[in-house]
Amino acid sequence: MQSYYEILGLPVSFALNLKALEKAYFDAQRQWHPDRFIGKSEADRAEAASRSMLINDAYEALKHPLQRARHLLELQGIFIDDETNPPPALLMEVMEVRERLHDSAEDGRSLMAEAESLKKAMAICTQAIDDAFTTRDIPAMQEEVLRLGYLGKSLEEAHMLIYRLKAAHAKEHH
Amino acid sequence: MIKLIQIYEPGQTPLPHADSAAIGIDLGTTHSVVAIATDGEAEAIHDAHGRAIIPSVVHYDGSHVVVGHEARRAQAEGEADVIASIKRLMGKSAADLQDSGEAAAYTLDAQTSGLVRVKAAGRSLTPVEISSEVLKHLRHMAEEALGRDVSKAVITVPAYFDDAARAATKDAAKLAGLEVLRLINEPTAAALAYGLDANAQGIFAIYDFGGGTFDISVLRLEQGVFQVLSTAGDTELGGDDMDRAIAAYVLQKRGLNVPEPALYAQLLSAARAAKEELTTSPQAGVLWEGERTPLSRPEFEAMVETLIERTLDCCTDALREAGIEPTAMDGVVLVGGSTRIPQVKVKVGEFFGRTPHDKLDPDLVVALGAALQAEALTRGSDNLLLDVTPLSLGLETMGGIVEKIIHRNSPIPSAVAQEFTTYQDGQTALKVHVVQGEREKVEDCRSLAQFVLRGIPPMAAGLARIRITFTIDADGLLSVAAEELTTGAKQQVDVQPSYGLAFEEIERMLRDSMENARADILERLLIEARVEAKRTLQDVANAMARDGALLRPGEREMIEAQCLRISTAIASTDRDKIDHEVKQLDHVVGSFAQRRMDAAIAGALVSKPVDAIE
Repeated sequence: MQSYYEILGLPVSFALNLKALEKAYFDAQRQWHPDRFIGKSEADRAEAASRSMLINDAYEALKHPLQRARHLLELQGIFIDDETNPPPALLMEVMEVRERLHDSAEDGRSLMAEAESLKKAMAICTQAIDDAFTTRDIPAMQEEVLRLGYLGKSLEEAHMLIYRLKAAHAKEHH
Repeated sequence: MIKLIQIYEPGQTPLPHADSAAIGIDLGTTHSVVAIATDGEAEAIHDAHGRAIIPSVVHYDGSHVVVGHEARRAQAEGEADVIASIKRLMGKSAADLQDSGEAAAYTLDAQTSGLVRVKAAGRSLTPVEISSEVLKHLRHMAEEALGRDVSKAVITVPAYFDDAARAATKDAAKLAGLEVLRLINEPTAAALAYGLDANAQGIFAIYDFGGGTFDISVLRLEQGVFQVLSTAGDTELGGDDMDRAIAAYVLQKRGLNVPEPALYAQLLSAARAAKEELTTSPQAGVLWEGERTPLSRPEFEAMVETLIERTLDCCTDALREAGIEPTAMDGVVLVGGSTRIPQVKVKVGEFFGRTPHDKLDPDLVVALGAALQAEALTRGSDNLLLDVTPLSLGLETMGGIVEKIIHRNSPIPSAVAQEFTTYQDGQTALKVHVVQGEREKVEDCRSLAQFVLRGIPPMAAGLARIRITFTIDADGLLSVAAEELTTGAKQQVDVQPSYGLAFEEIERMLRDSMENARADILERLLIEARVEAKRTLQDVANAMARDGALLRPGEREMIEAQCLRISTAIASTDRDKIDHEVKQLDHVVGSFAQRRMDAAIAGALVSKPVDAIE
């Protein structure tokens, strides 16, 4: 597993300054983007293209906290994706949130409140990931990364339900 | 997450010649412009009559070919064998055109399948050939004006152009004797011209409403980097559609049917003239077949209102993708001839809550940007363009669901590899179906290519490792490669133009994707519920087979009855019913499951490693 941090020349840490990430990304692309290799040998151009692709991958992955945290775990040899099974306690937590969302599917105000509390929970979870990574408490980090994934999905679902309600309202008013 | 990058580059690009110029070309639907940049200053190239805007019209006049103003004049005079707006057919197959309104303006060659062909002067021509005539004309114009050879160009394409249309454009350039340094997206080119001109920083929306296509791109300009954040569009929406709306109005007023192609083309010319007149005057008329049909500006505005609304829907989509509010823009730039229409300026201004920039000529700005990039690519530059791919690419998976491999608005160049396996013992071949689009189900996306990876060594299901790699290069062109990792059986696919996405299909797919997002999710949930229910049935059957001894009298019958109810529910399309019956099963098997668990724990107290996760 190649380190995205290495590709962009950034220090390995979960907390990441987006401006610094952008600068590293732009600098790397300035060096390796295929536009810089027009008229060069085929081998040079092929190398530039593959580097440029990796740089794009690295930027996209590090930009998002969840993907960034998953990448940090990958570097430790731990692979977590959307199919990874959560521990039972987390599963219960997730199911409760889902249930609350579905119970309030027709109630815009409580959906908004759910979305807000999900955002807060995600902020807390992100902080917990940072703490866990700083102290190299990998099991704790794993659980928080799983939690962040579920919270994100639930937030998406909340937004989807809010969108549906709005669309239904717009139709009525038409 | 295993990634493999393979590059398939065509022939090697020769080193730039000092005395050969690199130009920028805006190959437009209704007109084209060629420009050249020197030391970061771009200017449009004019013909001998001082004209920079060249109609993209080709007249096959007997044995010789006439392009531009003369060809347009011939068209207005009702000459046969005149072809306009060929860009709308780039990368399309004959089948693509069957149900579209496009065909009316062309005499199509019905004899061919695969790529569409147009009949003119007794010849059967591809859109690539016809476009190459326009490019040749522009190239000669530039050579004449500059007094030197021109062999390289940056050519612009709509941001929403699919793989087939991009490939066709590259082929047309090759036919015209031009080496394509890079295909760049029209709004990105406009941003380049505008940004370098104004030394702008911040987030900008480029609203590009041309003759045949609409694009919206959201870009960030910072430290000399032009980073496209998102793009959206409609490849069958432009000034041409307004002309057609006017033509339909005239035909209706006069009680006529759609006439044969040459006459219809004449009517479209007259409609365009009336539209242009309405930009500055409140009243105009469509002069056709010796008769004048009056048209007022309010009448015209009523006709095109829904077309403008559709552009604003795309804007909403692009902003959402970029995660930016309309009012958070640092500027909005108008590009394309259709933005001259006063009503368009007003509506765009209202949408973004600010007066759009129209300082640079909207007809020239794209070519100027292309010229700047051509200079940057041959002479070097500190500026950098980072663009994205407009449509998601994916593979068909079990149940007819699309697994997205590269998401739309991902930065390019991009390569993503994914591993698959066989699901039957002894399986030696794997069918791969590549699709493009935003919808969840394969049948709702556009099929780009299908191929079969053969020569997989026969082994037990799940043991073969097949890696499929999608690559999108910096021109936005796709290639797909598949490899069986245990034997190294390889297959590479060049996506065939006849499979290219049709313009109207991209538009339809995106519109449908927004309208059907909800239906898609429900459909997916239903499929998932069925899969889950089937798995539960299998688990229960396995449990009863293995631990049947733990069942109490009558318990087996009860469980089997509930399983039957689940099977019935699976056959229906009622997800709630499936979920309900599966939940009921929980109650029925609850105590049996508990007994199994107790037995298992009793047996497993031997040794169990502590799992780090739990």
